[in-house]
Amino acid sequence: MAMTMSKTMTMSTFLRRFMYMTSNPATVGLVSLSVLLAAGCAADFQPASELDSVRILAARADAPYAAPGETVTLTTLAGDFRNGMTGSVSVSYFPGTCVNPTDDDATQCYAMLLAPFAADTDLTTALVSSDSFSFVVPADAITAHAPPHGGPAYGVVFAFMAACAGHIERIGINPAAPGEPPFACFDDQHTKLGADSFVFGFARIYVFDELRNANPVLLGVTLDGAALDETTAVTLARCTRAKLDDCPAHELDSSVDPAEADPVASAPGHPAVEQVWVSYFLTGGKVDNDVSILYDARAGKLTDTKDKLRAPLAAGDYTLWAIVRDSRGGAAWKGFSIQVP
Amino acid sequence: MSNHDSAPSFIHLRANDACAVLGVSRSPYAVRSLSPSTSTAFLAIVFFFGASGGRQVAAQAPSELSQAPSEPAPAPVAKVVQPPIPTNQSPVAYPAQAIGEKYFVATPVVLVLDIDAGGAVTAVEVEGEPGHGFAEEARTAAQALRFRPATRAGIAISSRIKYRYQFVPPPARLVGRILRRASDGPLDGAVVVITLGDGSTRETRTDARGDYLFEGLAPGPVRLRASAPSVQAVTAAEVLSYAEETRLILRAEDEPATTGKGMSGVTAVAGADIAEEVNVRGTKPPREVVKRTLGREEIAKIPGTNGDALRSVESLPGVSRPPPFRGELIVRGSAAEDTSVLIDGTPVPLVYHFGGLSSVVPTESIERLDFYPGNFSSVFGRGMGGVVDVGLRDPKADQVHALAQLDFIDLRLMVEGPIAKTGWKFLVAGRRSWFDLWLGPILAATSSGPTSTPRYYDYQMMVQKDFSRSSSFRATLFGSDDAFKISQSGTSSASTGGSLGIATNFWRAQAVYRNQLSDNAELKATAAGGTDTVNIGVGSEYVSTVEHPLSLRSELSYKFGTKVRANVGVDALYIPYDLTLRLPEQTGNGSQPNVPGARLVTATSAGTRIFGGVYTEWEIAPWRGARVVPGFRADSTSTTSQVDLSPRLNLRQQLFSGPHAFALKGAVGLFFQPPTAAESDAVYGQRNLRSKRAVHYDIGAEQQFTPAIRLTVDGYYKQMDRLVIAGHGNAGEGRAYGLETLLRYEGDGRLFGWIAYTLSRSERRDSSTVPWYPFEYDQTHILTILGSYQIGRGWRVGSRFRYVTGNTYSPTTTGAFDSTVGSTLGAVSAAQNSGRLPDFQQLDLRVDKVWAFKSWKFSMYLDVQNAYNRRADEGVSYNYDYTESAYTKGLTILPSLGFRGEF
Repeated sequence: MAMTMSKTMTMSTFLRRFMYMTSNPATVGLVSLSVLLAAGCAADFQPASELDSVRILAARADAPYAAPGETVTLTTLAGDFRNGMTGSVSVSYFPGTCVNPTDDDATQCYAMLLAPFAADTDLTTALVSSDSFSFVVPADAITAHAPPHGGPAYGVVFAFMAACAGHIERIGINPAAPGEPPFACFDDQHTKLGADSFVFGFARIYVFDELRNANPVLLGVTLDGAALDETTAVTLARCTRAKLDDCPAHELDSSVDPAEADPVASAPGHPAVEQVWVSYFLTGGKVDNDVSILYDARAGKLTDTKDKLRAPLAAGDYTLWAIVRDSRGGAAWKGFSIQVP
Repeated sequence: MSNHDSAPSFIHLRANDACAVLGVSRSPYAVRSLSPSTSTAFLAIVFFFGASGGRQVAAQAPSELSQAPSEPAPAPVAKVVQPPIPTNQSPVAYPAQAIGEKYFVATPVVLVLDIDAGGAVTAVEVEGEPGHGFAEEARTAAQALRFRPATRAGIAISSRIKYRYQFVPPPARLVGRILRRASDGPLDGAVVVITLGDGSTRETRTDARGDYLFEGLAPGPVRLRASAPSVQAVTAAEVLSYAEETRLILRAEDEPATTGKGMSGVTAVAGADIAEEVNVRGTKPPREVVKRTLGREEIAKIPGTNGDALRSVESLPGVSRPPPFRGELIVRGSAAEDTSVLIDGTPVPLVYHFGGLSSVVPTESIERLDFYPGNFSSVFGRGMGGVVDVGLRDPKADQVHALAQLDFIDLRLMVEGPIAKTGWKFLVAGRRSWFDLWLGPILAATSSGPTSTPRYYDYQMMVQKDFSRSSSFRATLFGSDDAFKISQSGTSSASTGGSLGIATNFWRAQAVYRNQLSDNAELKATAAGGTDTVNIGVGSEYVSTVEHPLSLRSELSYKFGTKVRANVGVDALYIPYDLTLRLPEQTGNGSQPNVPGARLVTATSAGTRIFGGVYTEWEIAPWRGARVVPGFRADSTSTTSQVDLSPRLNLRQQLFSGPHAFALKGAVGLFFQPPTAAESDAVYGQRNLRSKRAVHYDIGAEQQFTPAIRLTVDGYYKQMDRLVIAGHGNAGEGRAYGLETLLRYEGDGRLFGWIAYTLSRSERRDSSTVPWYPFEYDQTHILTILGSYQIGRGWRVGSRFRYVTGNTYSPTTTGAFDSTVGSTLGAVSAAQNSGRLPDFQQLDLRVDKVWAFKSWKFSMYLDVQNAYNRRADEGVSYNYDYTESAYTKGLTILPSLGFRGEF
């Protein structure tokens, strides 16, 4: 049984529910073992770390916290990892940005995003096909945002992107599920492709007058204690077991520059730093945990951040990505080649 | 009240002492005569006496002893055996606990007594557990018995006998006074005749003060007629109840001058079928139309709950079933936070340890649990769901008692008894979980996920003194502490990663004073103070609160005349608090983005929430069998700066009385609930909120089929409005309606059980202009069938079966990928809660075994939840991009074994 937490119940949700309990304290028990049970009863799904479809893995802004009028450049890490398929993937940005949507909710941008495009039209030429995308933060991004209940004034800018193994068309907002992407990916026969061939996503950049954040610096990744080199493939013995879970474990670890684990605003008595975590992705084999926390918000640098990598069952050339993110929108990544003779 | 049958029903003879029966006697004689292999045959020898309690000895057949295989025949020394014969009386009284629980059933209690060669009772074992305090009363009485010892061939020997006490419900008493209306002086020598329900009559005469007395009356209707020379006869009718004293004071008119003065000239006054003053001493009927009470014995034996108090509530009608360990009480379609849980009238911040492992107060410390699913009394306010009022029990006063219990979850200890020569009595109890000690290493060895386990403890300390029969004072300190902390990695999303810490702690110092000021006035007051601390942190987010609540509740009851009782009370709560939090910023519509990495806002605030409430409630008996209870409550809330006025009315009409009693009932009332601290928080909430509001309607009937079987049926409708919707103030609305049926058997203590069925519907909408959608825990059918039977020799078996319609959920599909934090958003169906989980069904089993020894008792139980391992689907989980989903599995078969020793 995978130890995964239901995505429908994030920690924010737990805390929010707690806040509602305090009014009628008799139900404080809601913050309860449900936290734990949610982490223990999920079904055995294929982990997010195993790559076998079209995926956007990350987008990095050169200025995760931007200033009004500043030019921000996004860089996307994406790919087509479908087994046995040769179609190239097109990574495209939607032109323009969405500034301060209602409730800071990205789905509230959909109507604006749809407006320039006609239905049943191949949008390939209308989109910006590139791994990177630059935009200028509007000068009024902060002043146009409703004043926050707490903390400094801010604005938020969304940039939308898609990776499609065909071409993109407008399909409109689904009234039965308004959060679904309003665009879809079609092949040459105008067959709508599924989630293994299409990812619609966005990047979110907060805008402040004063606050800034630098991207984390991924110093290195080690496998069984040896540093991996982005330019040299590492060789792993093929696993001869029947199941990946039974394969020998190789210790996988990542380190980031501690200077980027910045202190963050917190209440007296509750010191906090940026939370920093690493996500691993592989085209073969598996890691035991999709995510490892490197810096905890309250505990700081964690001493045990090792993950376990199981070598693929078949010989071949594989890729491992390590993507680190911080809790203020920063990201960095490195990719490594793995050869299994 | 002496209700005992002191004759032994049969005897086990013993060679010397209890060890001898087990073949390990220290007696040289026993060693010679009874080898281990013959001891079994010896145990089978039973001396029967007549059922009427005759004391003739049935001659024991020595040949039975000699028939033990492969053993030499014992020496024929035991040819004349005389059983022990009681030399004193040690009567028992009908247990106060049974009276308090209104349990009035003739109940036999069979004891096994060990009597030494001196005739003293050395050990008392109660066969079975009749509950309701019968065992304790019988055991205490039996220890005072003295016997002429059993003899064999003229030699005194120890023995073991069965001894039976027969508890008979205390009869009713009818007392009163006959006065002359003109002078208000006593009427001496008046003839008072009562006619009972079976047509029989009894007669007495008033004394010089005009007083009369009838004792030992059967419950039921009674008509009284008093007559005397020179006055007109007066009559009255009343209904008597077990263990209650009914006092009737009547005033007779002088005969008109034209009327003859002989007895033959007495005539009844037209319309005099009303007593001038009625005073019933005993348990007052409830003010509510629906009040369900569970006694401690029932709670402890309900299968599938581990004997836990609050979890037993889930077996009652009107209570939905939340997923395991959510710690929620969903009553008549209300949200969990709408239902209040009180301990002796004091609200507590925590119901369960870790959301359902066990209640924060162990069952051993509880006297009863009152559950009001709706239309509750004006005594209770600031809630629009239901009320659960847990009553702590009085410490025992006869001697020092102790208890120790160990199961897979926790260890609990309790000591109670009198404080010598002070009149005070005490109770000290504590409990600590210990599964962290054994489960942690197992998880560490087998799991790559979280390897820490929670820890909790709770405690109760109490001293009490009864100053008189009418006044008592009790001081209690109780509290609870839960803690859990892990550093969690290995999740599919960083949002759930990082350290997780949960710590909740509360304590209350509570004082309860009761005083029966006079025959007409009663005062109850409860004051409590304490501290609630909650610290929850997950990754970058945390909430920390400290509250110091002070509560005061007081009620004065006064009886006006014969048919009206007025209750007036105050109910105030003062809560200074400190709040520190760091959470994702609230969005414009008042909700927080369900997105990790959203902008976190830190806030620190302090303040005071003040809730003041006053109420009055009148209990009126306008005519025979009728009960009208209008109430009115006014609550002021600092968070709304408004006063909420709550009129309520409960009606009940008993149409038939006696063993086939039938009553109709109905109620309507207005209920308010202040917005929560979060809903009205300056940073995370909304301003200018009003209290949420509900109107409760209830109509129902109660039918008694036999003294032990009763059926109650209630239809309810609950209309809710002013529900708080994020970003839209009090725009939300709700409605819940349904039918509850409860067929309950409360027999002789050997068997209890019920069938509870609820047909219900609960809906919500975010404003009056949008469609209704099902509530999260809308459950159409809720069926519970449970029973527990004492099969003798200390064994009790029980079973509970539940069938519940699956909960709702909102189907979710793939949304956009948030590349900033690396997770895919779910696209939730616009048709909220349009999905339905599969139905739930579960069978639970429980076996209890009690061994009673000389001065203590050992018991064990096996409680098996989900005995046939039926899969329970408790929710829906999704893969990382919402392209796959599966039901989240609930608990599999879960056995639990517990041991308890007590004296």
